[in-house]
Amino acid sequence: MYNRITLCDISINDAEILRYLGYNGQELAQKLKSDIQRCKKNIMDAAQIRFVCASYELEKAVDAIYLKSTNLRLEGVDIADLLKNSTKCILMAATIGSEVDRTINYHQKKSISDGAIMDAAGAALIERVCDEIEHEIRKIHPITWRYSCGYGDLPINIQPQILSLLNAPKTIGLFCNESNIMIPRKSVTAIMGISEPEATVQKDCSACLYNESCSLRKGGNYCEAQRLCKR
Amino acid sequence: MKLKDFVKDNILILDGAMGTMLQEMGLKAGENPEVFNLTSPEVVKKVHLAYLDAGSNMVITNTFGANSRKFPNNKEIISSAISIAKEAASAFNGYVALDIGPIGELLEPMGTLRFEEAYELYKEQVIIGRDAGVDAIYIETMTDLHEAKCAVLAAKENSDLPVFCTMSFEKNMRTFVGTSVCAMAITLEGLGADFIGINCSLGPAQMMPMVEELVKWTNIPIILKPNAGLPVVANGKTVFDAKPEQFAHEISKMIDLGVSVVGGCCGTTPQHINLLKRLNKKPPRREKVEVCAVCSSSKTVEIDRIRVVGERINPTGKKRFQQALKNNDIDYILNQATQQQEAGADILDVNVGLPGIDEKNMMVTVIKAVQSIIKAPLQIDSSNPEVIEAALRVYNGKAIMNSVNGDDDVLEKILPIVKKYGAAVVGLTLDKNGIPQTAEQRFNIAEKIVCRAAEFGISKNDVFIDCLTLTASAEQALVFETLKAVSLVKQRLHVKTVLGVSNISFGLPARDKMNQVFLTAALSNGLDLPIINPNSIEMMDTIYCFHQLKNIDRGSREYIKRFTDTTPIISKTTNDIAYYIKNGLKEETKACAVELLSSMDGLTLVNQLLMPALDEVGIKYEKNEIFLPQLLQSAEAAKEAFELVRSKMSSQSGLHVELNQKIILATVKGDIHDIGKNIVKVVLENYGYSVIDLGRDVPIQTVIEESIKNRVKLVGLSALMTTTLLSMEETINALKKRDAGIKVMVGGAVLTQSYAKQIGADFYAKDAMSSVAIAKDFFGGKVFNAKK
Repeated sequence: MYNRITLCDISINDAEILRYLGYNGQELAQKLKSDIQRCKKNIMDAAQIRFVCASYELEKAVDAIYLKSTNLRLEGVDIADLLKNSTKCILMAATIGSEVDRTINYHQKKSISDGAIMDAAGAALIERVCDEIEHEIRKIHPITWRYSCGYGDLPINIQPQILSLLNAPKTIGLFCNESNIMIPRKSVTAIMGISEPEATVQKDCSACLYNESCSLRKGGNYCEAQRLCKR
Repeated sequence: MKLKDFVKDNILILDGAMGTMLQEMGLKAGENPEVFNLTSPEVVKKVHLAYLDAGSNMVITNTFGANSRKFPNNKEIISSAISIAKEAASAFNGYVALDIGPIGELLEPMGTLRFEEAYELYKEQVIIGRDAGVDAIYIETMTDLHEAKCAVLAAKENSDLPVFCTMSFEKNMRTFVGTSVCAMAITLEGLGADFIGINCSLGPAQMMPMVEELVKWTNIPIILKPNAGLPVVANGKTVFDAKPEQFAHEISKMIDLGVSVVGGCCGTTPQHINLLKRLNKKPPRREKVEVCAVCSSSKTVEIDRIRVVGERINPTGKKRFQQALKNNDIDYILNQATQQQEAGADILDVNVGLPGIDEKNMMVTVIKAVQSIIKAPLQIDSSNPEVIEAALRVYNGKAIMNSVNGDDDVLEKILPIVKKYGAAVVGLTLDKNGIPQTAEQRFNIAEKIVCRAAEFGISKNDVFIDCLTLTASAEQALVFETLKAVSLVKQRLHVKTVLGVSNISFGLPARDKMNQVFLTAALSNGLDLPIINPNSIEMMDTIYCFHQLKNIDRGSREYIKRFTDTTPIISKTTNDIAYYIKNGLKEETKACAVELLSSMDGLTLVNQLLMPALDEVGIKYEKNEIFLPQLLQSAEAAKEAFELVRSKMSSQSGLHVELNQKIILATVKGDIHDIGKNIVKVVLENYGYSVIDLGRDVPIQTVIEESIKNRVKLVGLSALMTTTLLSMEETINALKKRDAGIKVMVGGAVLTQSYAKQIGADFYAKDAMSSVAIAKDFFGGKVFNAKK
């Protein structure tokens, strides 16, 4: 059923690009504004949006949550919390493609500032794509917010298994390397529980691995996990 | 009957899906089908038998992912798979092919798997297959041309078996990584693949446009192995939407178009194969196609009009370029590449030959770096056979090899290399006796080269003759002999011609003017591939005019577009270079610097105007008054000025700006994030530090070697993942073990002050400006100095 999902009119929010660049209310000259628009267009033109989703039944044990009929094992407090009201979950993998990576690499050589802006635009775009996928899935049935391995206490080493279960390398050209870095770079895998989302989910930054170093927290910003639950 | 003979008069029917069939017979979701060769060999044999019974001529072993990276016991798996297949095939007189799929990790430059590593993995599989007596090597489902090339080379170099190779395309006729159908055809046929084609991803109907494209670009037999349609989910299961009859019907149409090897991929069953057999078709008659083209993996350049070859990546006579080569400044070379591509060059010449540097190493590094961001095909320029072979080996596409000449020794040594890698080759009309005086004599050498190339199996379409541009100042009487020679070669040999145009004006004033006129004359005499400086607007203008005049640019569309485009005029309102830097205005900074340098010494400009401006920008950034893109735009503006200072100094007085405060930067092994590191590099260079950028995914040994070689005491490491932090820690330990005096600064999203301390780093750089502060502390003292 998730194959039928079509994403309409994805665009990148300028505020999001600025957020990724650590914007904190500085004055923007006209030239910089038009540079941002130009870089945004380069990314949109290069983007090849692809995604794949599938649902799985859950088996909850004492030590972990298992996805039935698979070899995937989900450990940790975060994921247990996310899936506490669910008997099924959805795995999702999405990417905006390798041409975006090439575009960023190319422009970086010509202009490092263009490279940085495009990198931010790419990050904003893939998150927007994920938002849209969630939005479309919610038309079918309720789901929790999305959670990715590698941030809280869900280990990143399950990345290859998630990709393999979804057959992501073959269906959407999404791979991960030995260090579990996904390629193409602007890609996301996530887990969502099929259940009514909690009214208030206060996720704070203290549990996150990037808590101290996170550049988004500088100047009062925050990342997707925080942003989504503040909605 | 030998396979090669069978396919002459018969359609070769392959088998259908293995994975989906095994899933029907007990294979669980997420479980690897290859394992069944050991745990349930009878089941695998059943599948093979079913296909053979249905009509397959050749079964493909259940070894799709059986490389040693994925399966430590892959030798066992492959051996078992082959014997199962052979047992099944023996009853039907069928052929057995060793299946080789992609390794499952992306190759460099997108991923971290090196070409050489991938080659070893493929080689291993091929050898097992060869020794076990398979009839063919079957490489499939490739999405990266680089990887396909790697596998094909491994097959060709380690066996004499026929090689099949198919790639998977999306509806837009490109693979996931952007390889085009024609680039695949040109490159793989050149490498000696015996059968090429398309498999997986799509159903037969969707593959029609690809087959129509493919037949235009290759003369070798074409394979088609589609999925059983497109996947749809029905009742929680994935099914494919093309019914077997429809499947066979679509494939029948494509056999008529030129396909002679057919089978089925995901979702197909013995029924699909049986219906293919029942089509009872004979191999189609194909019109021979003449292809005169070169390509990168994503861009094919047909030599069907004037094609500009950019000459700028060449150290000859370019002090700044020579300096870059000595300093391993790959970014400088990449800059030359991007500028030329933007200026409209169709192909880029790459020459990195300089006494004192390791040409082979440099050439491979540069080719890999250039092809990772540039789409234009490359022309490999060297006279050293080792360098040529190394370059052609890693080149992702079909390159031009520059050059051979009429000397028998050169031809004997180099033409085999050209043939092996399927390159095109430039032939210079000179030999052991030097450059002949007359056009007729040069023509004779040209003819010799074309004939000798043909003896090695190199088509006329792949030989480009260079009749040699002499300098008009020294050899004035012979200038027209070159043009006559070009004319003769075109008329009598019908091959493409090349000339290094800029040579004509060497030693004369007004070089641009002379180059333009000579170019025009040469084009009229039949020049196809001018090697010029594409950054020269006038030279490119000449090409546009010529295309219009020769009726190539029909309707003058390109001509009109070029000459009515308005470019924004840079209005420089003040002479305050500091203002332009602070506002990140690159072009204005450059213009201002040009003016200032006419009356001011370079170092004065740097120390009195540029550095103070940058310091101000740095402080604003620290105070959050400006944010990252503004910092970077200022840095880039300043960089323009620095480049001008360096160029002026090295060309005028032979001085070079001494940057002896060296810092190494690297993204650690396993990590490919580099924008942060690149930002640090730009900013550090702004402040006058000499940055040796080792790139990303850098092996520990390389960091150590480079720090020793360059006597560097400050190393900056970047990592973005918790998984690569370990690699960072290992790199630090290894460095300090080797030299306790080396200091390490670290940065990256996952780093914090405490992590940095934990892993043994000396400094934590939270951003680019922090790295400057660290460097200032570490080195102390003035940065910019001039030295001879």
